[in-house]
Amino acid sequence: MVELLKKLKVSRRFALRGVLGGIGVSMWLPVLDAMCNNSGTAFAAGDPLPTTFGIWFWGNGIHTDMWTPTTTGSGDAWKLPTNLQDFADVKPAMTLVTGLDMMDAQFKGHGWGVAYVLAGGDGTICNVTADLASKVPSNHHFETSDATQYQPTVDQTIADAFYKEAMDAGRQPPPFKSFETGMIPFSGDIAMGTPGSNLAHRGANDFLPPKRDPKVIFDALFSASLPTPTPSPSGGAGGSGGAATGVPSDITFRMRRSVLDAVLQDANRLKMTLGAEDSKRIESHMDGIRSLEQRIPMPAATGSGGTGSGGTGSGGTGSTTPACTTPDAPPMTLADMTAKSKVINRLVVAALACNLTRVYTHLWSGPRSDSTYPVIGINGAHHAYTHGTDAMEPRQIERYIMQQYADLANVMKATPMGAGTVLDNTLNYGVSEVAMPHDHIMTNYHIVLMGHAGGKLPGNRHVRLPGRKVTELVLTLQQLMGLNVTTWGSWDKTSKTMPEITT
Amino acid sequence: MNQEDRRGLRSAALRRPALWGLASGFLLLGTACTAIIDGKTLGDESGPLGGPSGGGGSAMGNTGGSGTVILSNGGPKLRILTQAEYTNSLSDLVGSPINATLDLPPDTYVSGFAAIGSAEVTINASAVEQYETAARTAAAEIFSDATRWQKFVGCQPKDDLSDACVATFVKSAGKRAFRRDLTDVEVQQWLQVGKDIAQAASSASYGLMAITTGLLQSPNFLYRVEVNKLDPVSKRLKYDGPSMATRLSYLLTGHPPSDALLSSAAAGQLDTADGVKTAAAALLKDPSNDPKIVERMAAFFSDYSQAQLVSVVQKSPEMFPSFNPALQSSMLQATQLFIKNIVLAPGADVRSFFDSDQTFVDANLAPIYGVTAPAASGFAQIKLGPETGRAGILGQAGVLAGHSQPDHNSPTRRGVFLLETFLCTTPNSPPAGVITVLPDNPSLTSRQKMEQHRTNMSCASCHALFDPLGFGLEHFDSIGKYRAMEGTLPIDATGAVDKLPFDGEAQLGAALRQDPKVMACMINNFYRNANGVLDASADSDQIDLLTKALDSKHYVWRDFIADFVASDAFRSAPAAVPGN
Repeated sequence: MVELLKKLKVSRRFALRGVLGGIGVSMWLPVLDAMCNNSGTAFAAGDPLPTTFGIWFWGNGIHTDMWTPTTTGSGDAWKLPTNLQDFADVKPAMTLVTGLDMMDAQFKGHGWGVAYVLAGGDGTICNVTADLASKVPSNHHFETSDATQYQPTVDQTIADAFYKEAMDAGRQPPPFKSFETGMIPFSGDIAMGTPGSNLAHRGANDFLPPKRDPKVIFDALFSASLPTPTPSPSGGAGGSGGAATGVPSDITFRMRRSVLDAVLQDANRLKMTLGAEDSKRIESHMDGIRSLEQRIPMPAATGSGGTGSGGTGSGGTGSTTPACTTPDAPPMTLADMTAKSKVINRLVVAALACNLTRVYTHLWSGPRSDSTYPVIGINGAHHAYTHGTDAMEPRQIERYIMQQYADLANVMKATPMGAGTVLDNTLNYGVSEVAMPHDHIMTNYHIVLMGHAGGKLPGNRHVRLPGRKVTELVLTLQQLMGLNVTTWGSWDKTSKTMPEITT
Repeated sequence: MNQEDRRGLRSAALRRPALWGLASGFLLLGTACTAIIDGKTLGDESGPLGGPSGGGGSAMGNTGGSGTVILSNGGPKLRILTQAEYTNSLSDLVGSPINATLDLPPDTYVSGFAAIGSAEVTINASAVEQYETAARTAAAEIFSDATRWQKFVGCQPKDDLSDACVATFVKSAGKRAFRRDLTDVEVQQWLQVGKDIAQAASSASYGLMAITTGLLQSPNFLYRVEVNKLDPVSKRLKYDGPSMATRLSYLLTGHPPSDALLSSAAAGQLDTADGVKTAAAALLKDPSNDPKIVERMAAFFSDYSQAQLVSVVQKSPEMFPSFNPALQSSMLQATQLFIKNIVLAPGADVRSFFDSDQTFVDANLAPIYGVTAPAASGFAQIKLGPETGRAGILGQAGVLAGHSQPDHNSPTRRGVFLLETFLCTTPNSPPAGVITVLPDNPSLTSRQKMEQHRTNMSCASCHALFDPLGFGLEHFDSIGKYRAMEGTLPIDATGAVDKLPFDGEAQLGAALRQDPKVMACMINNFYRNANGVLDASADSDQIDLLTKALDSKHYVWRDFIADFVASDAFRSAPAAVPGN
């Protein structure tokens, strides 16, 4: 695998080959040469390699007997617990944080937990759990079919900051402000609203749905900005027209850009007639149009439409004209969930390695997920197991999910980025909406951080901080990503950080 | 959000509490629980006002002079087209359906309905991209066929698009797409786009294709823009004529308004109740609208009963080897056929939704229902004899399977679904400290294992509301198949709803039919769906009037809808609620 991934750097096309789930699989991925320089140590225009931020979210928490190491500390002072033993090869990049609470560690539940760990709450200042009943406005719902996130999730906050950073520095931002993937759709018993099936939210009912199909992920990452011929309109006055070979791509790009400009004008005029809430919705729609337009390749700088200077894109302005053509992506049959997960992990890492995005979130399973896991012979519902007799099944499910997270980390470790690897440069927030799911007491969260955050996170640590708050950790993660934030959260609003993870 | 001058006003919206999906019982540790029924909370008056999301320029929570709470100042409201509405609007725009499969953004269901989600959801980058691809795909299909596009455009213009017919095309296609006349600025804008691309490509059709993809991506196409304004006479926020044309047409047929309807609107004919009634009658009587109307009505009942859940649930392959995608598809289709052909049959009483002894089966479903497979392939209508124990929507295998665990039943969960969905009653969350382990005693039925729910008063205060409803369905297993016994143990499926006793599902269905709360709840949900609002509680008076209207129309749903669209509940939105 390492050899295959190294090929990502040296060849224009490479085949991701292997045997996944017993079925031979072949996929072609292009290397976007213009994105990376020839030695892979920097991106076009010599910009430093940026750090990346990710979230790996799974539903229904943990079981401490399989999750809590008996000792704390760094290096050999602590051992991986049973359900994290598949991280053995990447333990040096793990920072396991345990013991964290939500407010005064009372009974609550999944719907509040997912708001807390991803968005720091709903915007209402709450210090104790009882505040949730008395202070939160009655049109904010949790664990219902009209529940949503009422604050932006932290990945979006970070994505916005990265984007602004690039624009302020006059640098071309990556084609995707953030990229969302997922595994299991919500198949639970009672609708959890939008957070049940969607991780990234920018506000109420304002979410970025995850892509769960490897072909869709591949197309989104590696085909969107590549020329796709438009079928030629046939007939028309005075011309032979109608050739079957397709529109020249520069005309297609021009058409798309011209149309999107006009659509943006329409949106702007409409916006001026709207009230505050709908105005915000249209503004977000307009942001989407602008970011789509940005991904449409600009015409070549030199008039004759060549590919410009070889290899490294057009320098100063940092524009990134891709130098490759549409790859063939033969259809894949995936044997099972594990095979699918492996493909998705590899696509995401490839995207990071070539700076297609700096923020990536993976909703493995949603809060309160009731999914079954036939791949490991478990045919009952995950959430239901956690409230039943103290059985092995939920523990086995957690182990399985963590195996897939470990796979992601291992692929990151094997993928060069700059002088190091993707794993060195990333910070991945591995979290669930609850800690121990059986009794819904919001205490003792176990959070699995992976990556060295570009050298800022030493790793190989178990940090146990009973009574400290998840918001303190998430504030610290944002600071490690270079954000200029001093407070975060509304439930457990804090300006206290967690230096213990970096010392 | 302003916390002053708030009045505790809980909504009767479909809110789901925590933990109800569990099959296990709860052992409470001495805490009480409360319930919310029809907007009034028992034993818990607190919380700020949450008003419905009304038109733009909302001034939520401001207190009016006489203690009223103003919900909205009126203005435009945006509703993104659902997938079905987009598809219909596209085929109406171009004159014929598009053959290519379009990958449109999925409908967002909020509080049970895509129509509410449409009014709430924000369109993001990935949806924008999907709309662009869909527009380009549709346009490519039309313009790859010279006959087709020349019919759509209405002429065969010169390469520079200088012919007068091009401006005519922009105006007429634009009007169909935006459901209103284009302004001069808009006409010029799209003409310019067309000419620019036509010139670059030296081809008229390329330029026209560009215009077409633009119209399909414009927010004026993608969103229904509905404008209301305070009417001094009714003191409600009245929708203007063009908005009523759009609302009427999409509600009844799922299609955009015809030219004729837009003209009526422009002439002021949709400004009065009588005018709307006349226009609705014309729509409802037109035979070419019939399939669209039935489709639309059926979609409401299908969403209302959460029929689509059966397509996403998982079941234990060991216990239920026959539960596969083919069976799931049959179950969903059977429910939809039941709705279309029985509940919404011409002249049918809509209350048959709960107690009809008719349903549909195919070869996949027949063994689940314990009947012989139909002779022909596909579905056949059958009568459910008393031995099946089934009637109405709650006897539909798909609905029962959709509300069960993969490997066992959940009477509590089914009961809560029933209570919230059909009785518009939302129980509170379970209190702290619940222990959820059921006694592991094989000589006890599920009902007996959950004895604590009834004997412990702090459990019973909530569980008494919904457990009996769920136990009424205990004769059906996790895939909706009838069972006389739970293993070797007899099943007790007795209970009562609002003092109406039942034994088993068929009698439960009959009891629901008789319960006046049930019709009011159905109308409450139809109101929310039609108006795209989360909450109907500000218009509870209107709901009362509509309940009487349904009765006066002998519960024929199609006749009721004609009344509904002409009522204040649809022609306007509440501007304020009385506070006290």
